[in-house]
Amino acid sequence: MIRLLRAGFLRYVKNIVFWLSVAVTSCLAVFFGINYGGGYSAMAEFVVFAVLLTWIIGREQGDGMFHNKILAGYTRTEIYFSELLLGCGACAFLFFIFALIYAFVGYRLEDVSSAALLELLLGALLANLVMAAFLVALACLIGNRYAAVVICILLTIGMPFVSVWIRKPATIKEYRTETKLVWEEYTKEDGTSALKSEVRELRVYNTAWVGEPAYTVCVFLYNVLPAGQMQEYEQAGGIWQRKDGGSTELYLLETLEISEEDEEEFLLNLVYALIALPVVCAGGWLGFRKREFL
Amino acid sequence: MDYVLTTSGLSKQYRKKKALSGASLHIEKGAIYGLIGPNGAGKTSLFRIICGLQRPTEGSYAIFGVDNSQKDITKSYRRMGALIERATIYPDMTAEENLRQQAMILGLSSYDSIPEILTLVGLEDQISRPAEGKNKTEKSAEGLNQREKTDGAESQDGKAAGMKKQKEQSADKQKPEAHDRLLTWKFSLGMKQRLGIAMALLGNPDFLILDEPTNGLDPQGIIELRELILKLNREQGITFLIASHNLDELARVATHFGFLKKGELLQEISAKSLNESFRKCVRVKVSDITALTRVLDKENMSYEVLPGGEANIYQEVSLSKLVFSLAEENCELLSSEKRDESLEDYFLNLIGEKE
Repeated sequence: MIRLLRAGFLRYVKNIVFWLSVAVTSCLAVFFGINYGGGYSAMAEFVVFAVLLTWIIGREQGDGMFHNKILAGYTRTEIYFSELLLGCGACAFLFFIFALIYAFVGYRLEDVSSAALLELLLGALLANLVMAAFLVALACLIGNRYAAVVICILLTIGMPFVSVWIRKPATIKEYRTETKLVWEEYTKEDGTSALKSEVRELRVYNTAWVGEPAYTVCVFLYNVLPAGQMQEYEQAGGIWQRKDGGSTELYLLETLEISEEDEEEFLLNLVYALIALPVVCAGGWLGFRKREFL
Repeated sequence: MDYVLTTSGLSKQYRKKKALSGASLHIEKGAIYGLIGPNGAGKTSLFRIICGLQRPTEGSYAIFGVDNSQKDITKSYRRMGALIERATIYPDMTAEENLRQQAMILGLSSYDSIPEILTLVGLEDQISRPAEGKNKTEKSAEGLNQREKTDGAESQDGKAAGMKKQKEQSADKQKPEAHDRLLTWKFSLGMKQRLGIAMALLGNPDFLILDEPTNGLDPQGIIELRELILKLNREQGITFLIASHNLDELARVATHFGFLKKGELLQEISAKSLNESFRKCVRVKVSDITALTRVLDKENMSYEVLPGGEANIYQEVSLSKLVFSLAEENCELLSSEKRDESLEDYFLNLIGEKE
């Protein structure tokens, strides 16, 4: 398999589409570093992944290179995992370029907790790897190169919209807590009645609650989908924040701030990504093992 | 007997079509096995299965004694080379780069053999530098251009010698050749086919599978390929499995034949047995075919009437006696010649019989 990796690495490095992807990623990082992406910077990045992976892997298929590798005595498992490692490696490289430029352009990192930064980076990297593994699986399984390109690009564009669509039901719980000023009548010592006020926290049923099992499904999908995770990383304590008082105006944060709640969320995302990555890899592998080459 | 490939009841069912039906082949070591069949007979499906690209629906096969169900089958694949339907090459690389990429995949320790292989298949103008030293250049030109010299093809000879001289001068000056090395997407079909053969030869295979190797080759290329196959078989003992519609060409190289029709293997036969079974005949042309048939029927002779007043007589015939007999019927014998049945005739008769 090392020979396959070596040959594949040179194939990526010599391919102009790879270097164009690096250039486009750099430009996207500058653009979204300056302008609020609304969580859609991940979509743009994933589209670059989709184009790169379907181009390179698609050409391998279309030009019959998988044939050559099978004839050279490699198993389908070796071929699939070499494509997976190379594809994920290329996407990880693009992610680091994006993250580096994005952070340089957008963030103020003077008072950033390194633990928080590491958690954010690791989580985002894993989310990117899950997406890359998913795209590699599709590119390897779809026989037609052009169909693979179209399907992968549509999925990467559609995924953030799906994430946004399921975010609302995923964040609305069955009950919400409302504080209410409650007036109670009581009898004074002298026998007269008076009113006293008390602030009480009331548990109020959310009419927008989608019910079970829809809520659990939405929460799971939102946490598992790479686009959803990337939206959280970008938005939570990110470079842009809404002004106090619920104003729609945005301002640039002086420093990166991550709240405790966000940290918990990131940890959960890490776990989800660590589960999703091997599942996606295994799914692609099982499908590729069965593939017949015409 | 040492077999390189045996298949046992190999079948392949696609959704609506059965491409192979119980095919059982036996290819001896050192043989050049010609697989003949009409379009859709299942030749390519068979090749894909034995190369591991597809799985059989039923049956099994063994390559170098290793059954396809065993994990070691991948080691057998490494001893094979194949060109199936079309050359599998990177279009955005040159010929040499393609071979380097393949060499890397095969785990070859050096790329020294690449210029020789390119010369062997007639793509010497796609080499970036000439092969180092005079001896190697001469040796690599042996496979092709030397034969043309002995055939007395002077214009080709002069051209080849000119090219050789140019290469040697360049080697002496240690400058790269100023050839126009093309990316393979610009190659003609014949050039791609040659490169495909080069890719198949790169790993020094013991068993080579070629599916329509003459596809796209010019007449000179077809001759070169035939000579290359014979040379590799003779000198290196490489076993070949070749599928071709060019029966005349196949008849010149193959030592064994397999006839495939609608997924079924109709017959396996050695070239020697095939030649012995070819029906010899005398083809005659007469002025009155009806008269001829009357004469032949009287003599109880086996014959076949052909269009244009011709007939094949499949028995020993005394021409003088025939002439006299025809004269009595007022029929003239216009021409006669002795003929052997061709591979094409044999094949057509075979598939005709089986229908």
